[in-house]
Amino acid sequence: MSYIYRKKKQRINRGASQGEKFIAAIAPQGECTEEDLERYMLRNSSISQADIILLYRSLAGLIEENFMVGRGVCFEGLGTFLPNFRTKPEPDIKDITTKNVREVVVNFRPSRKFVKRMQAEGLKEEGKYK
Amino acid sequence: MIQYVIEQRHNVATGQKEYFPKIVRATTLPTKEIAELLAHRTTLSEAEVYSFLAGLSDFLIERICDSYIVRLEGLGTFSPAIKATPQSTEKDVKASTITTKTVNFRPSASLRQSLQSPQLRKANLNSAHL
Repeated sequence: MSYIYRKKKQRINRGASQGEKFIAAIAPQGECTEEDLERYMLRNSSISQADIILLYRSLAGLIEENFMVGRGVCFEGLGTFLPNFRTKPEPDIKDITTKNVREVVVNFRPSRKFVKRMQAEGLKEEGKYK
Repeated sequence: MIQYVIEQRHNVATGQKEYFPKIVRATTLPTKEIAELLAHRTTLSEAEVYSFLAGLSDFLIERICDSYIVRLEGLGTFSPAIKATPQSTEKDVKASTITTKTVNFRPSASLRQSLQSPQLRKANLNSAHL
């Protein structure tokens, strides 16, 4: 397993080294969906397909319910999902109302185990820049 | 209901003080509690739910470390990412110019939609309690 990158031409407009540069960028190898998760779980656990679907749907609902009360959700080994605000600041404290909360966003913080695993992964180059 | 407090910060661009609402997060829901709650909502045992959650974490970590994008309906999209130093020439772009390997998360449209109309309330706390 490894992180696959490709070389990419990029225009840098800020900082000390401005101009046309070359940079390494991630080269995604494809996309996985919940169907792939289902197949993975069927191969690696004794849980039935119906139960996997039920659990997955219940989990999505549970996460949503917790975010709605400002509660984060932690998955051991994977990381923590935390609700946060995108706000509009005001110069006067009296002007702050619920309208200053533009939206509720979700941040993801990978666990230490996940970060360590990512850092330990090798790197492979794929093709030329586009 | 999501609670918030008003916080002050210094705007570097304008040099002025400004105020903004900050989320008060309830305690994060740990994996053990997720397993308990899901076991109550289904006919599965806590151990089975726990193995499902462990499988979900393993699936995501494996696929991301293999440079795959994982799109899970109702939850969001996880994508591998790298940070690298730009180089003047293409041949200077090497694995050694990659400084960090990480993961990005983008919540699904349905999750973002459900968080659009949260009930908000100003908390009766001062920042010393946070």
